[in-house]
Amino acid sequence: MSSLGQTFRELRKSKGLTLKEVADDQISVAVISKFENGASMLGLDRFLDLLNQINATTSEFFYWQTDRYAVKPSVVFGHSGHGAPGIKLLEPFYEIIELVNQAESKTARAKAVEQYQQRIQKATHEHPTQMNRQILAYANSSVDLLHYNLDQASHDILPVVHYLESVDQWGEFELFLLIFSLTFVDTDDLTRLFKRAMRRADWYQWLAEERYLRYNLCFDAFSVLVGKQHYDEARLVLEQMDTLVHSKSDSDMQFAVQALFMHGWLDIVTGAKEKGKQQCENALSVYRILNVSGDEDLLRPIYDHILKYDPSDKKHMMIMLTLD
Amino acid sequence: MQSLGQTFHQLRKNKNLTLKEVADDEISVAVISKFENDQTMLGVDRFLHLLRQINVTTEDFFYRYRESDPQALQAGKKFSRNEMPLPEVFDVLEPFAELLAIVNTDKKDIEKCSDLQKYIVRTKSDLKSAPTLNNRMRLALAETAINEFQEKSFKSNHTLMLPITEYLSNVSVWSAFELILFITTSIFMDPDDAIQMFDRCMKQAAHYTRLSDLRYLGYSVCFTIFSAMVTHKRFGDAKRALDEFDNFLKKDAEAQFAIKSLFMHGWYLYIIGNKEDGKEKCITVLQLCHTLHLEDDRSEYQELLEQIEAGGRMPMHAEIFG
Repeated sequence: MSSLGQTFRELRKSKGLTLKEVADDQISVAVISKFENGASMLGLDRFLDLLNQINATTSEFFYWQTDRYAVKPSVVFGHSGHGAPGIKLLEPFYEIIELVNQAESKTARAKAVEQYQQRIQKATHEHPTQMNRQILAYANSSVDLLHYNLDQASHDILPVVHYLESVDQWGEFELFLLIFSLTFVDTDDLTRLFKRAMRRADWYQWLAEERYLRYNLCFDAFSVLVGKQHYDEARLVLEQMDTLVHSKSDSDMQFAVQALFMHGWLDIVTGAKEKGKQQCENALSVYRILNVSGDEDLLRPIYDHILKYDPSDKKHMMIMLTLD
Repeated sequence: MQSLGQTFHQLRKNKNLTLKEVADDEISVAVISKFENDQTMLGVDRFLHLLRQINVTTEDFFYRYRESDPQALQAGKKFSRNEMPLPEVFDVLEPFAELLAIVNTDKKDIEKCSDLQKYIVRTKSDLKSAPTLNNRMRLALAETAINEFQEKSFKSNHTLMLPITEYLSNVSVWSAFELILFITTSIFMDPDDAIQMFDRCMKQAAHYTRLSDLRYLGYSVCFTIFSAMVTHKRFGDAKRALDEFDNFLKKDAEAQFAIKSLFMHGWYLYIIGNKEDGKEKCITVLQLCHTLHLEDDRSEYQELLEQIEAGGRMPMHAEIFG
């Protein structure tokens, strides 16, 4: 990560602009030069004026300045379809998810997560901050899940649920926190928070990295609800997905394919097997015709799995969605 | 419009955090409180630290800050076809907002020209008092636009556009501003200039793949150049633009661009004389849209296909994919 001043200088130089061209009656050559050299810091207002002077947006600036986008997108819940944000704030949660997903055997996984749980327990005891309490709740629920204790998981995640309910306007952090917690929260909480998030996330459709969050949230909430065999709730989520796909301003091919697949998925698990298979296969064939892999890595394994699905085996879907 | 401090205050309150919970040894309660009340400005470094304290990203913060400014939102709408607000990257077009508004009205060409004349007179006097880059480029673009409406030759556009082409060729790494400027102006450029610039732009393509705004602009550049080269009947150059489009596709395999690519391949085959295979590809695209229940996209492609089949001079598409 380079300093603020360095980044500014690189951007200015890359546009062939001299210090003199950037300076005006508000801000002198000397002040800009000191900022670039790290000799002094600029006020936020001045800094925003300077960005305007070189025709750069704040997102661009921080994109170059932080290593935010250099973080390798981590594969959350075994999906490859999601651009996971390299947000520093979410790092502790990534760490837990990785522990849950990566170790060789189930026992090794449980052991690794339990060790993390003890560490964060101690940290929370010493510094009972809001953040630490949420990380602890997340670790506790992860341990529960590894022991297939879903009821306990939905109880242990409550601090996160309460936090999300207390925040009025959600930002990126809250949206991702919900997406990460979907497998743990109880169905009623999930449905309530989902509705709330869909309203909140509306605001983000024009933010570069966040505009697809609503689709991601629908897909994840749907798969968790189907996994828990709450088909009516899953159907409501799917309706939201359809509305999104068909809204004129925001339609996107990739998610139209996902929506078609989800319809097939729901049909298969609720008994309309042949009709469902047809829809899933249509969805997968789009990528074959276009000769790109697209979301095939995400959808193909799910499809293979659904075909073997036996509704009496409750663990079956959950295993795939959480511990793959 | 909200101040920076007010925006911060609102975000902090919204997360139910007290000043005390946000303050630490780097920044005191008093300083934060003064910032929130507009009594003092914070340094950028301290501001970034504060955002981390309340779990808010810079994107979040500036999105909200910008959202509280009705003027900024209005500015975005000026360039958008369906009145939807546009992503933040389009803020960089603000210096050209008035000019683009004149060009994009539904008025007759003659009226547009007279509006442009007035604009040019004003810009010339601005340029005298403030010889800035943006004033120079505004003037160039206005003069080129008049030329275009009077249907003079592409050749004279080339000279008029020089301030813009020179600026673009001197910028070593294009960011959103240069990409958007190139997309909106390349259809006026001399095809030799446009293709030369396109090559430069593609050499830096690696920079565009990570930030999604910029990545989409990369696709837009390729599509715009493709349609411009088709119009100029420079099929070899059109093919190169198509190949670059496919290169982007190899990296992220996004379905909406994969389908666009399939259509462009059909279009290309059709115009170089292989009408049968070309049309077949275009029709596959129509069918895929139908399978996915995307009827709006289907009718847009249908319309384009009809234009291609009718022959004649195709309208050039300077298209920005949102």
